Amino acid sequence: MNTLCERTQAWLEAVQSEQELPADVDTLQAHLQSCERCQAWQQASQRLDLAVERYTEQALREGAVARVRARLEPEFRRQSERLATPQRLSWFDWRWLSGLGVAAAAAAAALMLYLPMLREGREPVAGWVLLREGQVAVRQGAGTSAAHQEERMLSSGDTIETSDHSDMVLALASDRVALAGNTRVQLQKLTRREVVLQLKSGTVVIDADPKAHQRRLRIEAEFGEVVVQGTLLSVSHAQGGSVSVTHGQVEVRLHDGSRPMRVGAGERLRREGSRFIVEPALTPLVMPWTPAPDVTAPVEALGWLVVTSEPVAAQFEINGQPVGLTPLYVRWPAGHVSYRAVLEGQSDSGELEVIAGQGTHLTLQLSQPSAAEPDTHVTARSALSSRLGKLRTDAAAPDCRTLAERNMRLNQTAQASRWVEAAECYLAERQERQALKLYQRLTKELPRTESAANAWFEIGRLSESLGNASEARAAFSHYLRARPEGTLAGDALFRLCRLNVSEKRFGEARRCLSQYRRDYPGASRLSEVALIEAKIAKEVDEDCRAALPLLEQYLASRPSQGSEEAAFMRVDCLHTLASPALRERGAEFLTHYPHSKYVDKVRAWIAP
Amino acid sequence: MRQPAEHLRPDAEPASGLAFDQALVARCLRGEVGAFDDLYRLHAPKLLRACASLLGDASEAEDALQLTFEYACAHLDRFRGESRLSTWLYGVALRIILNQRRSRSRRQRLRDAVSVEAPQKRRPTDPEQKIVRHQALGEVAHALEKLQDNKRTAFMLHVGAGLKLQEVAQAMNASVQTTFARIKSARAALLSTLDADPTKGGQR
Repeated sequence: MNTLCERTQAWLEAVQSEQELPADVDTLQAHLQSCERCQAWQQASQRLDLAVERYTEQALREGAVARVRARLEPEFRRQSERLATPQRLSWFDWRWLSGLGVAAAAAAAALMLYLPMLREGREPVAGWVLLREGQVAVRQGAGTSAAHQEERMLSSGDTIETSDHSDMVLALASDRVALAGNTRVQLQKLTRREVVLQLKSGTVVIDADPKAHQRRLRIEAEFGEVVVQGTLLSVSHAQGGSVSVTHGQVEVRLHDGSRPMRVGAGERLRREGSRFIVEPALTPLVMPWTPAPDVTAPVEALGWLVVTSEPVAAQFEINGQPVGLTPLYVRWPAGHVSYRAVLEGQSDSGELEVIAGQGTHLTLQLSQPSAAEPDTHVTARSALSSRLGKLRTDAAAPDCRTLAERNMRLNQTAQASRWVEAAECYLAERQERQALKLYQRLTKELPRTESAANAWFEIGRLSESLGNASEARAAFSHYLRARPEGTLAGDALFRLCRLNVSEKRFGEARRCLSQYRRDYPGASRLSEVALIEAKIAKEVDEDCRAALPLLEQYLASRPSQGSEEAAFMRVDCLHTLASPALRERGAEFLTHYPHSKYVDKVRAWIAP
Repeated sequence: MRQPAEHLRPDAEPASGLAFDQALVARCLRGEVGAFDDLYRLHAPKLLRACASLLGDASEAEDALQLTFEYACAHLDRFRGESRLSTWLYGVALRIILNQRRSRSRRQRLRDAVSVEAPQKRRPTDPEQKIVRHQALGEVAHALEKLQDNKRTAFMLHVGAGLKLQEVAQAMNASVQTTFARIKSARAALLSTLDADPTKGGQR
């Protein structure tokens, strides 16, 4: 290739890159027109550029910019919030020097004092898998999945996952965390000062040690984070996120930026539309697959038993009451209990002390006896004695009648909780009829339990929504008789009033409404009560003078988006009474509801 | 000097220069609602194209774009206003892409993913036909992989992503002459690898 060709190609490249052109462009241009090699080079270069552009194009997908924008949304919001917070100070001022010196000395002293505490706080604490049922997996920090065994140590970074029909209970320091089926959690932090658990999916029930004042348990879920201390609660991703608390109080910091919400004992936080609301929780919590017979007792009065046996699947009884198959974890009121485990004709029994706020491990040997081996009972008991040192054999038997009554009640409470849980599951799946059947069965078979009263309310609510007004009325009446001061009593009474009106039981409806006004003077539903009363006054009593102030009361509580029907009733009453306010109210009605079916009527009334 | 907010609409093309960039950055640093959106809307399309040209893979390009903006949002206070904001962003993207390439054995992955034809014994003599034959993207990817990092980056940003020579030079923290030389060298190497340079290979 001659020098002229090289210069021509350099010129062509300069043109492509918008660079300074050589002085002899005309010569080079003339050469290009005559030289086939340079022309071929130019074409090859252009085709190369085209190929590179195609290479770029194939790596661009449609909607990629918008897709990445959606991924960046939380980051943008977070950064905007961070930067919007005033945090900057003006630059150094010499006058601060003395103050800074004092502050630095104080900080150094504080650090010296605080460091050991900090180190102690960061010290890892024990975490292990207490019990499991079904197929579960523990993924260690590195990501290796391993079949899992009881009493395996856990550490920060581990991910624990349950599958269908499996549960497990973790012991994180002295707190207990139960994972329902199809749940995935990651242990973010496991230290003396703080335990942080990230709930990725499913539901966990947490029984936080009330005595662990120095440690904070935090659950991070998709909708927010829950800070726990000494509480029994569940956190779930189901239905957009919910938190139910049985004992104690928790603080929920929602990710939507709203103020932290407090959820107390007997309350439930759940999503309704785009916001979260706190409402009464109908079901006291139980740890999954744990009998937990008396969770309504004060938490200070409960201890727990962890029972394992060799072989497993022994029927375990406490105070003569079957509580499940080993291995199991059970909460029990503190005190002296007798226990018995039975498996294929082999049994072991004894007595021990359940200590409030503490766990007691019980390991039983139920293997076949042989001539060479000592008696199974002796083996089990000696093992227990050495392990627990809490075994007492000389305690007097409790009063049988007291025991029987208490155990029957405990058993029923546990049973009722299970039924409610199942009914709520049906409700979550929108199978109202199935849920209704379960609640009805609960009220029939376990009528004296706490859950049965709440079940009456649920029956009323479901029957009302399914169009069975008479059954709904009866159910709400049952609830009000059983729990006249209950958290749902106001709601039940209002619904009962509404049902009475719909069934044209106006006498009962009047009594009911006046009772509601008397018992709940500050209730938010008083305006709706006024509307119902106004309807009765206007349509039954044909007393527009009585109806008007009630309608005014109702409409005043809904200034802009008031009920169309109520507004029309007001105009109708004014028309009946030939009131001078008719024209003004009529015009107002026409302004607010220009497409109403009553427009023609109102126009006719207010026409001059 | 701070510009009034109404002058900072993203649809007003970022031709307004450094003052515009500084005003936009100031809005972001004040935590003004929508400022990051404006930043993204202005620069994301071009940055995505640059990432795509350098990585040759849609998923990786989107990841790189995301990482670039995450970094930019968190460290926007490091933008000193000495160059255009777009240049600073390209610099961030280049570092991220370089890290991506280092952390993954992309060369191997491309070799596996893209089917490369075996070299043919009988080569057509017409260079145009050769380029047509080698337009198969796998061949181009293969040829690009053979280039030195800085030459490939300069060439792809200029030819693939359509950046001006000055922009490429600033993003790569090099002079315009050096960048031009890199692009020229990359072009020659590519034509040679693709066997499409009529001035070489004893074709005449």
